[in-house]
Formats: sequence, structure tokens, C-alpha cells
Amino acid sequence: MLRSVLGKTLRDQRRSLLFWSLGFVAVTLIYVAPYRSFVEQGLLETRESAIYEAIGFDQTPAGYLRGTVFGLIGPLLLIMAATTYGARAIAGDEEDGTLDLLLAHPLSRARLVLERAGGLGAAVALLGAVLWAAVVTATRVADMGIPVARLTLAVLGLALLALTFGAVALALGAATGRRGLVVGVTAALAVASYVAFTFAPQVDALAFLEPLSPFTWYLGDNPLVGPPDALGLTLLVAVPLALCALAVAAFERRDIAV
Amino acid sequence: MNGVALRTEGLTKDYGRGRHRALDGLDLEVRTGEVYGFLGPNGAGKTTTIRLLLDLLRPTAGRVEVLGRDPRRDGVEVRRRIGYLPGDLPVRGRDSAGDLLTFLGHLRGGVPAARVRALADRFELDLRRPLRELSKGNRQKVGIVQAFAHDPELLILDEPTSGLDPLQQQEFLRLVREARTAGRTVFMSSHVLGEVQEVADRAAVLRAGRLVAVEDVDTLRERAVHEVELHFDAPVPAAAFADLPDVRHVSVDGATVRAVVEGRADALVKAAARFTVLTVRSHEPDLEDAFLAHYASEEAGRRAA
Repeated sequence: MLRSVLGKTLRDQRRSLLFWSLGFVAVTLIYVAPYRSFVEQGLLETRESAIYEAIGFDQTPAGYLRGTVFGLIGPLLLIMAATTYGARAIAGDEEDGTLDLLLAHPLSRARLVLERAGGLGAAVALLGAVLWAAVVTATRVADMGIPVARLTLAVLGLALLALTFGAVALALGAATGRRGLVVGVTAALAVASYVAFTFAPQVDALAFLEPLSPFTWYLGDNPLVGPPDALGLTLLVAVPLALCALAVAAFERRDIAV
Repeated sequence: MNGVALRTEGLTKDYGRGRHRALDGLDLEVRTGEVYGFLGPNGAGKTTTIRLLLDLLRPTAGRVEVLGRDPRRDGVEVRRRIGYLPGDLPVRGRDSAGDLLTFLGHLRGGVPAARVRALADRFELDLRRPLRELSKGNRQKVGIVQAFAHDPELLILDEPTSGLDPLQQQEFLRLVREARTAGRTVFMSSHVLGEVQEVADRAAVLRAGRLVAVEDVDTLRERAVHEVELHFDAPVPAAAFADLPDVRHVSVDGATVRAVVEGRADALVKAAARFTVLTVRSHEPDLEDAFLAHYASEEAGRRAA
């Protein structure tokens, strides 16, 4: 783990990765495992409502998962984790002054950004794998009858969604070096994207925003019921890659703060 | 070998929105194999210069050449051959000092573990301690070990002795002398005249972003000012200490003589030797008083002329 910047990055994050993992397991079990008893107690019987429709919630297994783990709490947590890691990748270490020492070694700026991006990708992949295992287990326990392939597709989309915002944070950090600004702007973009996906379609004047939201690329065709959204997944891969390229370009040309 | 290890030409750096000029047209030339002191009070632009040499900062104007290369274009290659000691080693996390040194060694493609251990032993640094528990002095030792471990051609050291106790400072200066004996080049910034006098061949003096002087260290020593206090076993006559060469501001107060020595202390010591000396105390005023005053007056003289 001490042999490369990527390895060191993950090593430095081992505790936080463990805590996030425990969080994902706990949340998934709390939401998903008691699904049957929620249904039996009638807790999930909702009236027709624009809100429920907007967040895609209904009491079918797919609707319940879509409205909770995949549409709300999962994105919230995984985007928070990815944003934290993305902001720390450059801006955080720069504010701590540790980038100075690294970049005084024979390590190019591009290589540093790319290894840090790799560390971000690995961290999100790991948390995605934990979430996947928790969701697969919990849906078995609750006998929800959703095929593993669909769950896999949904978790993949969710991880790529989080990675997109992590890459936004990485790129903003590479350009500005200011962690507070990075976290604030990334969080604002994530909220705006969620709103654009969830509520913009109900307002004619804002409907054009929906296809621009990464949430749409991920959940527009509900991966738990619909066909795989090839365009959406492509965008969710292409945008983080493009952001990494921008991060390298921005980081190459500026001063490193003390 | 008589090459140039590093050179700057008209190096200028502005910072921030106010375009504050931190460095103003710096011309430096450090020869291969010499120990070069880079003196100046805090805020003079020493660290800015060093960070420009490492390509951590980009110049507003001017040129930099390190080991014959452009640090911007060939940064990785240049930095492979450099050892850098930051002014304050930033540390974070639970890793031990040894872990950090292993990691930094891998960034250089591996550094002999025996050499790391030998350097750590020499400075009595415990490699098992977590970084964040280290005192400033111990962090400085980690910095020294990582800068010297790969035996680089060029050492760039920013205030290398800060935080070290006097014995460790001497050990460090020995390490610098060994590096010179081995043919390495050392560029070290400092705001302490004494340590530069001890090890450097030449020194540049920086003030407010401008180069004030480049001198041989022998010349620096001549210019250096000391405040000396002598105590005798009985009152001494003032006349014995009047009009001594290199001695100024003499005050005789019974059995105590205070004076300012500029350059050699020889005349004062010989005058004092005629009486019974109990104690001699000498201290170096800070750089500004001791030293920059000389150049400031010289500059003022030139401007008036």
C-alpha cells in the first residue's frame, strides 16, 4: 500500500471506508429487510400524489427500492462519500500542505491527479460492492423477487452517479485548491441535479433540464424494471473521464498553494 | 567539475489578486559542488524562490534552470536528482514516520532502507512514532532523512535547522559538510547568519524580494556584527579599550566592558587579555540588525552619490 500514490490514498482512507461501509450495510438492512412487514401493516399504501410519482415511489418491490435505497438514501450517502474523497484528493491535501512534499518528488502533476482519480474510483467501487452485497442479501431476506442482474445494474448506475460528483469535486479541487468551495459547489450541483430530475419534468418551463441531470442518466429508465439505459451509462462513464482530463489540464498550469 | 547546479535569471513572482511582488528580478548562480547560503529575514522571498526551483510555483517573469534543465518541462527528471527539505514538514494521519519515509522512497523508485535507518539513528529519530505526535524538531528530522536518503546531486533545504536543538544543528551541519565532500551541491536558506557562515562557501542575501548581495562567506564573516560583553575581576581603565580597530560602541562600566565588534574580534580580545577576564559573552543580533544594516547604508550611499 506504500508503493504508490494510489495505494497510499486508499490506505489513508481505510478507516473512513470502513465506517462508510458499515453505514451502507446498516441503512440497507433497516430500509429493505422489513419490506414484507411494512407491506403487511399497510405502511406503504400511498394515495395518488405528485410527490410520490416524482420520487418514483410505490409499494411494489421495485418501486419501494427505487423510492428509497436507489432513489434517495443511496445516492445521498454515496454522493457524500465520493464528494468527500474527491475534495480531499487535491484540494484537501493542498490545504494541509502535503501536496508540496509529494510534488517535490519525481512525480508529475498529471500522474498525481490520475492516481488520486484512481483512488477515488477504487473507493467508490468498494463502497458500491458493499452496497451491492447488502442489497442482494436484504432483498433475499425480504423475498422481493428482484433478479440479481437488475440489482447489479442499479448499483452500477448508482456508483457511476456518485463517481460523477466525486469527479466534479476532484476537478474543482484541481482547479482551485480550496476544499470548502469544492464541497459547497459540488453539493449544490448534486442537489440541483436531483431537483432537475425529480421535479423539473412537472414544470414545463424547466422540463429541458431533465435530460441534463446525471440522475436521469442513472434512474430515467428505472434499471429495476426497464431496459438498461445504454446512453445513460455511457454518459456516466464519459463525464467522469472528461472531468479527470479537465482536472489534469487545470492542475498542470497553476501554482501549488503552501 | 565546475558546472552550474542552478541558475535563475530575472526571476520574478507576483502573488494574489493584489499582484503583490514577492520576488523581483532575482539572478542567482550556484556552482556544482558548493554549499550556497540563501540568507534573508522572514518574508524576504526565500521560500518563494525555492518553490519556483521545484516547479511548485510558476514564475511571473524570468528563467529558472536546475541541473541544466527547465523544471517546468523536465520536472520529474530534475526532481529525481534533488533532495528537498521543506521549512515545515506537513504531516497528517496515523502513519508512522517510517511508513512515510518508505512511501516517499517508493516515489523515487526505492531508497536503501539501511541508509534511512542510519540517518534516523544519527538524529535519534524513532521511526515507529506516529507522525502527528511528532514535535517540530522531530518532524524536521523526518524531513532531513527524506531529503538526504537517496544521496541526491542537489540538496535544496529551506530553513533546515529550525526546531533542532544545538547538538542536532551541529550534526546537521556535519551532514551538509559530508555532502559537499562527496561532491554534492547544497542550496540552503536561512535567517541565521551563524549557521551559513559555518558551512557555506558563498551566500546570497535577499531582502524584500530583491538580491542585496552575493558574497564569499569570508567576506560575510568580516561584515558580521557581534555584541560582546566582558567581565573582569577588577575595574578596567576606559582608555585601554578606546580606538580599537573593528570595535564600536564601547562602554566601560567598572569591571564590565560592552562593545560591538564588526568583523574580527582580535583587537578587543588582545586589549582584554592584559586584565583578568572572568567571563566573555557574545551574541549575534538578528540578521536585520547585524547585517542588512550594512547593505542598507551602502545602498543609501549609492543612491545619494
